[in-house]
Amino acid sequence: MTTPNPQRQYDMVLLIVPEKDEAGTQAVVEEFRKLLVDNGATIEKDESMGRRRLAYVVKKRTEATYHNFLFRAPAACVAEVQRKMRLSESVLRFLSVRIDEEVKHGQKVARNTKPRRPRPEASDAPYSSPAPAPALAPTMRPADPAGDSRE
Amino acid sequence: MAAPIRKPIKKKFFVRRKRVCKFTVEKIGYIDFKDVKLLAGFVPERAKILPRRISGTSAFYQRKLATAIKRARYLALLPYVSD
Repeated sequence: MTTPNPQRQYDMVLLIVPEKDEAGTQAVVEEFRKLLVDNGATIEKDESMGRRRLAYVVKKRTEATYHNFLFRAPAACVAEVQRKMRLSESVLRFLSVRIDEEVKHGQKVARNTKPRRPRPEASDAPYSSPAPAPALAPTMRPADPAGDSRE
Repeated sequence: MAAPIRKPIKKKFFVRRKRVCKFTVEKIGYIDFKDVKLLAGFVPERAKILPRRISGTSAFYQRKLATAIKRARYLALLPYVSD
């Protein structure tokens, strides 16, 4: 049923230690880029998110360089890259998320959502006139001339 | 028979604006955890996730939003707690 080695779409973000300078950071990114490609990934987006202040202290660092990869790869490739990242001293933290199904489902939902019907205005005018009519109708029904004609 | 006399409109103390789900309106299918600008709007000062009774986000998107915020927190893009 399923293809033996499906290419899934992943979104991966890695935080590189702030001690690295521009060239050092580039080297680390290049290392993992090569690793991804060598393991059969096709990179779709490869973008530096720049140096950012961390929202909280991670391993005594208050800032880091973020880098984002968007790629398609088999699961084994991601596992291997994750293993290498865990070993690497220059990667502070990383997160890889499989996003293909989330994106697909989200787009489907977004396509199918219809705009909500606007609620009637909350002014008393439209409600005051029809309100007494239904209240009277049931009591009037037995003596209704329309009912007689039907018999 | 008499023409309906218009009731004087009672003065409300404050007018609550209709809350709408941002994601439904803008048709955002996938909430990206890297989009700090977007997510920060749903994380007030205390760094708690804004409940949907306040933000008006639909249940579907609130679930997606919560996941995205939690992912962003792990990457230190957003705080878990503030002070």
